[in-house]
Amino acid sequence: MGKNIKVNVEYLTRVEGHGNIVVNVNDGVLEECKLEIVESPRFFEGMLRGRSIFEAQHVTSRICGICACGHSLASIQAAEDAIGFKPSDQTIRLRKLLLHMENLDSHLLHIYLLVAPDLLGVKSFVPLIDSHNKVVRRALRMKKTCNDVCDILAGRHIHPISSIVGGWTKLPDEKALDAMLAYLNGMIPDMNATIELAAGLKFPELQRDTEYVALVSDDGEYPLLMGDVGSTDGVRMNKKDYKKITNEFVVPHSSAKHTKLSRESYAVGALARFNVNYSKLRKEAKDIAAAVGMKPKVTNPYLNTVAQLIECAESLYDAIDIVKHFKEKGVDHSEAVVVGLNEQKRILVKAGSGVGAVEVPRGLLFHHYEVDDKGIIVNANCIIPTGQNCNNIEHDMKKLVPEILDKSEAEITLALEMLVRAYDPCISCSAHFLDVKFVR
Amino acid sequence: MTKPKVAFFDFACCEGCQLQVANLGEALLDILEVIDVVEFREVMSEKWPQSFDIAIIEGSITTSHAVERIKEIRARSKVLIAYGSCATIGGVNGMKNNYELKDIREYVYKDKAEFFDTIPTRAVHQVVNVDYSVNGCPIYPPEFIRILKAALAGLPYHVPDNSVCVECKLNENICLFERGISCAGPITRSGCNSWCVNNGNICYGCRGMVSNPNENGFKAVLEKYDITVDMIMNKMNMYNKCREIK
Amino acid sequence: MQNAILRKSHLNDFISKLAVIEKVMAPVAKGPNHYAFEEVKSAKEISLQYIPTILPPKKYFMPQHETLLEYDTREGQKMHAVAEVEKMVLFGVHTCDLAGIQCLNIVFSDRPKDLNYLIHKNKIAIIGFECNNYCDEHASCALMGNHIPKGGYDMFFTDLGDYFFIHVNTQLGEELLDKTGVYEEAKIEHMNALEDLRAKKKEIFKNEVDVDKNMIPEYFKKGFDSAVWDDLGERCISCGNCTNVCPTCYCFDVYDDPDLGAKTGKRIRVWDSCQNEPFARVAGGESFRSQRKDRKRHRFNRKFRYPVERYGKFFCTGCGRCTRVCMAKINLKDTIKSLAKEYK
Repeated sequence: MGKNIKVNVEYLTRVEGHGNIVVNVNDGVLEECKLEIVESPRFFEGMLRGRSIFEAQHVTSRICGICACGHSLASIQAAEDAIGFKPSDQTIRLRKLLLHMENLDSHLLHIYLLVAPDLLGVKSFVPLIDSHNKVVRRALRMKKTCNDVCDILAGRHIHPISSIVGGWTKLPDEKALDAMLAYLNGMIPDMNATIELAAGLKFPELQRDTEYVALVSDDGEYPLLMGDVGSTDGVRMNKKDYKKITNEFVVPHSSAKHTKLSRESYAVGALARFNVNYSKLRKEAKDIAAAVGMKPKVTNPYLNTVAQLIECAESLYDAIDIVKHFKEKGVDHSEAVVVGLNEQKRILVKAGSGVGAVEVPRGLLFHHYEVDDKGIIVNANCIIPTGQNCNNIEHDMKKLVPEILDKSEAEITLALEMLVRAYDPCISCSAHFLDVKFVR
Repeated sequence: MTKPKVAFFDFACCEGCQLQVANLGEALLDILEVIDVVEFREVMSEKWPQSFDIAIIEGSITTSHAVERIKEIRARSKVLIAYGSCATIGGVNGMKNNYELKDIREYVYKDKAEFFDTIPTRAVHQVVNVDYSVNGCPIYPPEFIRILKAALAGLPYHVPDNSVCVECKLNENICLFERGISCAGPITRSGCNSWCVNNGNICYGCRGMVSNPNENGFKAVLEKYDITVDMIMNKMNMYNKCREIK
Repeated sequence: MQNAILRKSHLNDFISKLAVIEKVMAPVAKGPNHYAFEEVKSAKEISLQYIPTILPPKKYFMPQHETLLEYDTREGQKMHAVAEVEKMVLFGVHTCDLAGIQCLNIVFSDRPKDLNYLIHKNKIAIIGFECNNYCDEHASCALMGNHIPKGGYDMFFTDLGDYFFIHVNTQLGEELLDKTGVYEEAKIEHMNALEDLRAKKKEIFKNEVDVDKNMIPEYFKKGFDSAVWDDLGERCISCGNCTNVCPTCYCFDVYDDPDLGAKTGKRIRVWDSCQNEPFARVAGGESFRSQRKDRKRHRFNRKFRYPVERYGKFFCTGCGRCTRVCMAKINLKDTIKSLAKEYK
């Protein structure tokens, strides 16, 4: 007689947002395997209708606390695309710096507070305060440093203030640049310690080849802010064709909206970016990849966390370079913008449709707006990375469960939880668009 | 003396306010020395099914399931702190109340609309009794810590009832109205140290309105600066729509 | 020495040498037509042709937030007073602001003496600067007699073309000037030029409201129930700008800021405003000025009537800041004129 296993994790912990895992094995056969999103929907796309395009950045950053900068930047990109505004080189550079800080902050939170407890056999970082006090202090310290840099650059990390359509309302002066550089350089010893710690962690095993989707670009950078959309299966499209990339569809046995491209599912996120853009990583990041034995194509989803670690180095050192660039070339303060709702019509507006595609820590994020000639939003659509990953996560779970059927229910449950956590899902972001499946 | 048991819960929100707590850095560890965090789903797997001393709530109430949940939490907690605009005044979730529920559900979820239970957004105090409110989107960490200290000492905390202009002038900012753009500062509660204007952007009113705004006087101000009243009223709706629920 | 001159070409030398001796705070441009006192290290950072700064120099004498004392209740009740002070030189202070500081000096020397204020004052040297012309149409300094210097400074600069005339008023002023070593003797022709300027100013600066200053307290007393206050009350949105920018407003609130654990902490003073709704609320919930018109009337009386009765001095300096900064465009000169018209 085969095994009977019922896994029902309600309100999965140590992920952002509310999700349930439901797995049903009957007589050794996997019957049901779902990641249910039970987050209360907040209807952001609906609420944006009728509001000024100049407010979109402020409102959509509230979709998510940890990807606030990412939503903000994707929103700005879509808005500027729609009204036909071209941001300056300085503006773009500073936006890249902001995105790097968010990437770093989010990955560190994930590695230290969300994933590490599982790998160290505890339920949260709280018991680690006693047993691994230095590690916890380091984690909190590094996160705070990212925040301190964001405070200087954008006013704050969560819901950035000075980054808007048209540019920046406040630009860093000499003292600010020095302070940011000091913070970033000060992080290097902690970063090295982090790499040492992570290199010693043992991640679970699962191999499942899938398509990895990420931004691609023809410059020398590891693209996070701008680019086309590409994949490990050779796809390359302009971001305005995002619907042809995501191909949302409803699966007959479940009402969750899934996405797919060239195969049954695809993955976005740090591991996807690593697999697609490995050759464009900086030397510091590539060295770490070598040290931890990561080379594309990596198909173990648990190693998303290690890809994040590599990206931490990429973001930190690139951020340092950006600040150094401004220290050398100076900041043009005449570019500071005062826009508000564009009451003074300082920015020209025309009717149009625009798409923003930005790599937030969890993967590719799309914002799409249609505006009228007064700059009022007529339609809005957002496609969240976690939503794009849901299909892939379920396929991963379907592959994993039969492979670990010989383990105890508790061990299987933990393995499934860790699998979902590895993707670093941002469920409250995805909630506004995913369907809820009620399993009674 | 045992440390007070504190639990964090979240409803319809972006979890940004919880993150502000996590972003306190090593000061968080100082806080953890005086309180015992028994539940905090975002960063801990531990759960606490019994009563606790302080419940800290983020997010608005937007479904009937949420109404039951918050009432259950209130019954188990001695003190309840609502933090973040979503919890204290409905926040951006309140904008949903601008629309007919049926209409907005169908716009976002099309034919799956009926799977999504939703009721008009409400702030936490519009469903259960709240002892302390930490306004702001996101919360302003120094204010959060002040309120936490007050809650631990059993002292009241009054959210300032004057306008952001007061703090803004103290910070010697140039008034944005002087630069030709409208700002919700004059009718929004202070306490955030004019965070947004310090960084060159306008105040969006995330901390909620002062208790007795001179709405007519404010409209006259707008006219003098040549700014349409509709634009501002629309802006105040961003965070303050839930005021209309009696 | 009582008088000296400084050639304009040497101003930078003067400032940079001074900045080595003490911190120098001077008016700096912050944007179109906005200025603020900030630390400077050279003359080119200074905007000498400036309209009154956003905040008056009172921010140095009575900082917006100030720790008054620290307490420790872990073993008994221990408290010790704190004065967070730094030495500095204010450069370029207009005569209206000098008058403002003199008003604050009176108030804080009155019993009970405010030691925090007095300690700050002790560490601040003041270099005044003459206005040869009106800053703009909002000033009412001639009405208040504050368009010419009346003391309250260590040194006073007057722009006389390609040099500054320096009046040295105190020993501290003399010491500072000596230390910079950048000055020349004032000669008769310089003194004459100064007198000429003062004569010219008599033609430029005239009473801006055409009301006898000495009658103003009387008009305010008679006009206690005037409709002028109703009008202001309708328009005011209680933004608090007027009190924050006023050189003579000094109301403050005091609160305790405990550390986590509530055993130690600080007592902090912060600027407050009679224009705030809760300001005049007392225990029990009763408010003596719950109406905006009452609050507006109170503020004006605190400048034009009550201090005259108490100290024999007007507490309006004529700087024009409140009018400039009022969101509802409430105009001080118009208010006085309206009141005077009713009761003349």
